[in-house]
Amino acid sequence: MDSLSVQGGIALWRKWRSKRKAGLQPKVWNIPADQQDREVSPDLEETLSHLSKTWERCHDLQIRCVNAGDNRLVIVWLGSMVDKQLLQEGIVEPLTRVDERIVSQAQLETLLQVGSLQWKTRWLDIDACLSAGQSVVFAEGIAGAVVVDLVKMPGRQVERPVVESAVMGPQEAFIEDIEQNIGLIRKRIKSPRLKVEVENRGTVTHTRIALIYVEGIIKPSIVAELKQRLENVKLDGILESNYVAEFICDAPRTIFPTVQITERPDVIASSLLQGRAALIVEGSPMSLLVPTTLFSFLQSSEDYYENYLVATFIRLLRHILFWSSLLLPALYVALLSFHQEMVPSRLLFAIAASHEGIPFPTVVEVLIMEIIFESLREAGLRLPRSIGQSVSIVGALVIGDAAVSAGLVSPLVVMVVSLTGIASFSVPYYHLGLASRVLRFSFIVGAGLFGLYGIILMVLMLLIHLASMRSFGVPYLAPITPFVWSQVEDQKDVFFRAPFRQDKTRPQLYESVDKKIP
Amino acid sequence: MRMNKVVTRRAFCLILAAVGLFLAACGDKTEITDLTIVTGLGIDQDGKNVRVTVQVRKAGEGAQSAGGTGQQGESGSQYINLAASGKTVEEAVQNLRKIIPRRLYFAHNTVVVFGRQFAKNGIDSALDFLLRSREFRRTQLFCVTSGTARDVLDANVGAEQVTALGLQRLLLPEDIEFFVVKITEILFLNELLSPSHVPVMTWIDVKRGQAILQGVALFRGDKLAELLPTQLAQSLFLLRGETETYTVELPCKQPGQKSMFRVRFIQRELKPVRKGEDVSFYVRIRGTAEPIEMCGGNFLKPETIREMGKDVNDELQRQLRKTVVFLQRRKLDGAMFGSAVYRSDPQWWRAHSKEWPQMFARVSVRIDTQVEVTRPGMTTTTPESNYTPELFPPKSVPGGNQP
Repeated sequence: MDSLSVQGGIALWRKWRSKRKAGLQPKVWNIPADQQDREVSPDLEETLSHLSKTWERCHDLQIRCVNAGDNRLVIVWLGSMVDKQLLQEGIVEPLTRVDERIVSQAQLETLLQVGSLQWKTRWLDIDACLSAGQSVVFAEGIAGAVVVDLVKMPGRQVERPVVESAVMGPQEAFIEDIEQNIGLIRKRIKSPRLKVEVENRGTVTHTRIALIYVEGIIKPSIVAELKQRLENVKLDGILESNYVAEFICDAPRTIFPTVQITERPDVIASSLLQGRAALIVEGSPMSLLVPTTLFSFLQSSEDYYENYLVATFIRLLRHILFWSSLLLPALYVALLSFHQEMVPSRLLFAIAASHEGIPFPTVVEVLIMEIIFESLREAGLRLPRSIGQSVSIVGALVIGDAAVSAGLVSPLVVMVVSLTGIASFSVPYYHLGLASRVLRFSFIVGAGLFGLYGIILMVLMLLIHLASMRSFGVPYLAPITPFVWSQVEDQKDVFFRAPFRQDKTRPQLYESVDKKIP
Repeated sequence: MRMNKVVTRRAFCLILAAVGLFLAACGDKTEITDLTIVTGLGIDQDGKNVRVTVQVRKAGEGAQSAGGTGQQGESGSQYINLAASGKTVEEAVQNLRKIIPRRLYFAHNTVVVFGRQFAKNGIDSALDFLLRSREFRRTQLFCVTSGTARDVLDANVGAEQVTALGLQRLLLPEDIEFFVVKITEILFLNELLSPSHVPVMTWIDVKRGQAILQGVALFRGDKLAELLPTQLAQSLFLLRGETETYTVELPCKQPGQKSMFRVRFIQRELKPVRKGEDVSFYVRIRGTAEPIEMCGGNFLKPETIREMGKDVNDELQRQLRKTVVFLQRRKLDGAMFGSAVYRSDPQWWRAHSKEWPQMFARVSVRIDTQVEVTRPGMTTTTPESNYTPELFPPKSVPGGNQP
């Protein structure tokens, strides 16, 4: 291609880009309830009219007017999110029995037999509290309202971890309820040094995000940076922690996770003690951990719950399995289509015998098998559990036998693909497994084009990419690259798992304030 | 805006580079099914021409044949020998390519068999071909046959399915009590270029359709000089210090019987002794012997053992002496004495290397062997000779067989 046509191509591309940009307009939400902010008036009629206007067509809003003694009181709550018994005992009963006239805020607050209450005077706050499930009490002649927390969210109980299941160790996983999730961490770190800062994000959903860290351990700049990045989360709805993760991660265009996502409170607790920060997002059982490194994705929580020698062996195995889940099919392709001399003689004779009559080149064969395998995996995940089993039976038959006897692929390819599958399942964190799942295909294509040379080239590119990334200032491949001799102690928890007796310092890559473990 | 331009240009270049990758389009990719994998190679003299035989796998009918079995030389065989002739080895291989539709692939060749006639004329041209090609491994095994290489590749090897792979097994000394030493291409070349200039190669023949190890072939340079049968070959390897076991046979008093001893843990030392311009050699051999077959009625008393040790020693020395005389008579320094001199005194060697074959025929060799019979094995005497009708304790036990 000559330079002229290259420039022409670039010009065309630019034109298309600018056109596309002009079409994109920022979204504007014109919802009155989210915009006006007025003081609560002492006049109950005005209060009721505001409520009926703002909460129009909200069937679950309950308004109860109480006339007790000389007082006119209004209790408002969302029927779907309130503990009805507590409401009855704590608010309705004491208010119906009152006989003196209520004239002040303090008087109203002493009447209510509830644990926590707040005084709000602005409608924006009150509407937000109402939508969060809290109950509100208005009284005639008082410019303000008492907000009472009697929330009982519908949701499930704490259950066993599903994604990061383990044989040993605690069997609790986070759930969708943020209060319970914070409780699960508090249960493990009983100290006022455990700080929990809650923010609301999401212009419509008002999702609570809890920023959790241990003061005196974490490097303060990490907290500051995290807060600053949370400012940038500009969405109308946050339904899962990944919504936040994509905003706060360092390298948004990489396939590798730069934010660790976990459902285990024990993982969060131990990470907090290492000097890392956690984010819990309301409505998501997956919490976020920053900063993170590649190697923390290959450390299972179970490593710390069993004999350290066994754990070291298993961890080494896991590292090998991770790389083989990336490279095994590619190596097979490279050896069989470029470097036949590298295969042991007798194995090659056997492969040659089994390969006879297969119409596809090895790279196509492997790609076919990988695609079949990935589709089965996806189908097995998405289907209801009862049908999923039958899919796996059909899949085993298709992969194992039918494809071979139909002359579509050779038996060794089936073995390589299933070995790769097993290897990829051994990565403890799902997100890293996903990355290797996708990258595997490009490695296969690279091996098909250039053989071992292509694999080496791509591994180098991958290593350069990994080494160039950072997560909240911590190099992604730390503590291997950069290797710092003064921080050589960090090596004890990468490929090995040192016994707890020898854990004298926190990992230095997170630059914790308090380096010594007392 | 400037940043955007840079990013756009960079993205464009990346896309170009990525597309460029695909232009390679699997350039030198070769599928396994496009190869004819050669497992064995035979080189024979064919009148004035050279005949090259390759053993290759038959192209199967499909995946079903993967587990199929076949017997060599029979209708169900999976392997076939193809041959072509030419003026040189390379030309013969070129002619082979004319009859084989897939690419001839030599990287997995396991064994090269030389026919006697070809080897006698010199294998230098074949070595040139084997060394020049990128595909051949330096670890492929070499052997020579007194007949034709073609016959060896056609023969059966034990219960092995593929002759070439069977030959590979036969030529690799898996059994520690066996005398054969592995001779690969690289080892042969090392010996060819060593001061002694007498490389050796394993000798294999065909008898009744079965390949059989016969001994060892001595080359003078690249030309086959002499074929040594098993007993001599065994002694030769002992002199060269390449084997750790040696089998000694002794006649018994009873006619038609013999006892056998296996000398193990052999330590061999070869010292050239220079006196002025003259050189002599001192071979020191130490080892322990173990009876593997005994004459009838022979019991392991201390005196018997001492006596047996002496006999074994004498026999071993006799065999070694016989081998040295054999070599000296033919002026073939197969025991690598020349290399030993060269290692100890290169300057002397350089001055005398030209007349070495003549000198070797005259050098005096002192052989010092000392072998002790130690372990009797799992039994001291045969069960029948231990039997007495009265069921007395066995005779081999001190005080046994006495009423």
